[in-house]
Amino acid sequence: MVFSSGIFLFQFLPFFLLVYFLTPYKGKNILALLGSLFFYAWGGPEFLLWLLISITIDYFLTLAIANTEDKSKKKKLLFLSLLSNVGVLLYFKYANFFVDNTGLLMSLFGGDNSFIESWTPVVLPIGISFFTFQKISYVIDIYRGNAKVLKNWVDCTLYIMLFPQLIAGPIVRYKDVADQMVDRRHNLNSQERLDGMVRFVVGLSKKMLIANQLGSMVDNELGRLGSVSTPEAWLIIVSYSFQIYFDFSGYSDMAIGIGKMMGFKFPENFNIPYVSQSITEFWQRWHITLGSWMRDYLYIPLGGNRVSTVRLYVNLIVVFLISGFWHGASWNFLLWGGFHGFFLILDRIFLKNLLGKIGTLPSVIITYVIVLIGWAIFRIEDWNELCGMLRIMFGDSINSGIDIYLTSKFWSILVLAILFSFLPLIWCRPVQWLYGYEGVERGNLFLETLRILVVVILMITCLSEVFASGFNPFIYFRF
Amino acid sequence: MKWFNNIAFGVLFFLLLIPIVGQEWFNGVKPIQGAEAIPADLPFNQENYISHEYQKVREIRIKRTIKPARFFIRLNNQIKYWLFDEINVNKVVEGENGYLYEGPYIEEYLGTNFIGEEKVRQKVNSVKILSDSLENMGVKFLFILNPGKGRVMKEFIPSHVSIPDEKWSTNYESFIKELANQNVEYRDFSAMFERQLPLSKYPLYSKAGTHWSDHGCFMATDSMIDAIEQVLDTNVVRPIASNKQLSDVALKVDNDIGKTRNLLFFPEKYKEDTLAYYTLRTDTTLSSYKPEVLVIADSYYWNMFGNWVNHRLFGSKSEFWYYNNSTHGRGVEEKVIEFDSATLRKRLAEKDLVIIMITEGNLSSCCFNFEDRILGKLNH
Repeated sequence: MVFSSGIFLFQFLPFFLLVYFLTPYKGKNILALLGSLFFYAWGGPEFLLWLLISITIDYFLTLAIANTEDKSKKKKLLFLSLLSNVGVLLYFKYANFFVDNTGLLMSLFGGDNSFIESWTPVVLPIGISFFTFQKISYVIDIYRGNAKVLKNWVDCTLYIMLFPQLIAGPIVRYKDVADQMVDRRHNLNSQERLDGMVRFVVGLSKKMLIANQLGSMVDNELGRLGSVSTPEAWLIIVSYSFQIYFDFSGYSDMAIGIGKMMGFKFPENFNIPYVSQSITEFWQRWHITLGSWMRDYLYIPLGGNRVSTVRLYVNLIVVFLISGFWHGASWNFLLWGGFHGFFLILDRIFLKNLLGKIGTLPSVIITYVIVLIGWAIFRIEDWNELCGMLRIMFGDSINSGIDIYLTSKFWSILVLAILFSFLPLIWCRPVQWLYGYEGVERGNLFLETLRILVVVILMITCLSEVFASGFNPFIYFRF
Repeated sequence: MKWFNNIAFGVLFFLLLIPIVGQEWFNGVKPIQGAEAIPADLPFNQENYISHEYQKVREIRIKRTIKPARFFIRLNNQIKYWLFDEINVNKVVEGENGYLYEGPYIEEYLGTNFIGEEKVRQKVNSVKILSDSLENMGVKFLFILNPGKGRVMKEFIPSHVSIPDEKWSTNYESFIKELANQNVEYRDFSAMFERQLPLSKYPLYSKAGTHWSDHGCFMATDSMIDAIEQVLDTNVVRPIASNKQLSDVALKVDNDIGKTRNLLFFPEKYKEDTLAYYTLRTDTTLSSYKPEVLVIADSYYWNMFGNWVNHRLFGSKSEFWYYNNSTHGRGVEEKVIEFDSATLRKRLAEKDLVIIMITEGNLSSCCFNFEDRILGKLNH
């Protein structure tokens, strides 16, 4: 079930919220868990039992970690948990990739790769990348003593399975919400509820009104990569950069919004990333919760900054290769991770300093262009197509000019996307106002009414978009 | 501000509830028009659930079948029309002066779907074999090429469509050439429409329709009866267009694209030049003979069928096979593909005449699988 689906918006969410608000506080966690189980079971029924079993194993392992003073035993239990979680992730997400590539290698060296034919592809459980990271976060935070263990199985399972962030994040580190899993009564008030709803609608709007609209153009045009011109190639990638940003950040907004309505305060996941003045800054603004997770549970254990320069660079590359591979089991994701890791190293060597000296606008543009090249790598899985696209982007095209027929809708939405992505560079108040960020004047009744009016219009438009999505009738049935 | 927060949240939450609680609030909104395959409801069982089929069907049905959908879909189309002139109908584009076109008619006119002369020759050869087979059964045959809006109304084709500078090949021209070469009895209504366009008192095509207008349909009906008389070499009941009514709003199938746009409000720019509508009456002065006719045709024939051509001008065994797929005009709808050889022979043998009527936009896929569904069974 995704947040922009009819079943979620028109049935699950209203019904769930209504019951949740009416349920006494003591029952809210149980209800939230039941809702989350239903939410997951709708899209991944075949994996629900397995997920519950694996959570239960972690639940007992963490209880054991918390209850023992023996450091060696703690370590063994932690290792056991990490092994099971990472092992399961590797199997479900990467087994097909390794089998395919082993087969390819064997065929290259004249070996027998007939085993590929008998290999049954593994089906990926929905959200496995996200909830595995949450489980690891839980176990490590307990091991490190950063937060209290959840003694109640319902609370523990709820932390892993809480439906707003279950399948697409934000990746909530356990220590950030540990207290809220047990007691969040102070967050259950009218202001948080309203802000949550507003945030949800803004996120839905970003997805439905911007990302999906640009996405249809990107998908169409990527289908004819061979014949695009250099300006067209850049236009496609620019559109894709906004599609992925508004889609992912919209989804995060929706998750944060639903969380708020339920009394949870999830961490922010995006902070106007395209105004970054270096790749280092970009990763402080893009998918922030993944960055935080990688830093806390991978980069720092590898030694972080407190190592030799060469080791530091190796750490950065390793972290970003893993981060890239986490996004998907394909070579292009690895390459994308490596690409970003490479620029982070350049930042450490000289690039960040250099960009800092040339002024805000040039550094933003240069960083954005680097990010765009990264998005080309991210989006195009096929190696030959990717090379072709990069060649075209850098001038090797038989065509010139923009020949694709683009509607006024496309241009209007692109301009809107550019405005919302870059305007905060000089003026961020309108966005903060719409989001209802803390620190923005909230006592002005006129402004508040105006804000709600804007949100009402956005919501009606989104509802109409959800109903109309996929609706493109023929005049008559043809046979 | 607690009171404000509660009211504001209540308003937004209420909007979220509308699709569930507002089932009866949208009865006044016209149902959604157009051809869209909505899957039948699936029972909830383990097989459907685990295979995700139940979830998929449920998602589609919730977005299409609940009553608020008709309002929200129309609202969405209206917003996109107001802001971007966007049309949410499959393969439909808007031309100049508010004329709407289905893409295949422009493609056919521009020859971008040209299948090549050799393929056209083969297709016409199949038509010739069909014609001869029917002749052997004592049944006459007529091939009618209907006009396409792209050719007849070419001056309003959208400006973003690039029209070649040099002459180009089309399926239509190749078909005409081959039909003549292979001595197939045919009529070219496309050329007739092009000739009549500047002379006609009323539009032959409406802005919001994909087919000939009611006026154009009557002109075509008249020409079809002329052709039937020539092929059968006898006089038959003739049509009279009576009770003329004029309208500056497209009615009936003249608004088939228009209504499929599913807007909330009628856009001013689609206001039509005065369209004429008639009632079909019969003229039996010269003959009261009603021939038994099978018309195998695409959606162009619906207009004639809707004007009671089959019932008033043809005999009681006459039929319309829509896309050579479903049968109409003789009570229960049947599937042509399900006819066995004997049934098919019987159905054809009781006819005086078989007409294949095809519009330009469908020539590239000519002609309704009749090779498999008719020829194959006749020669069985």
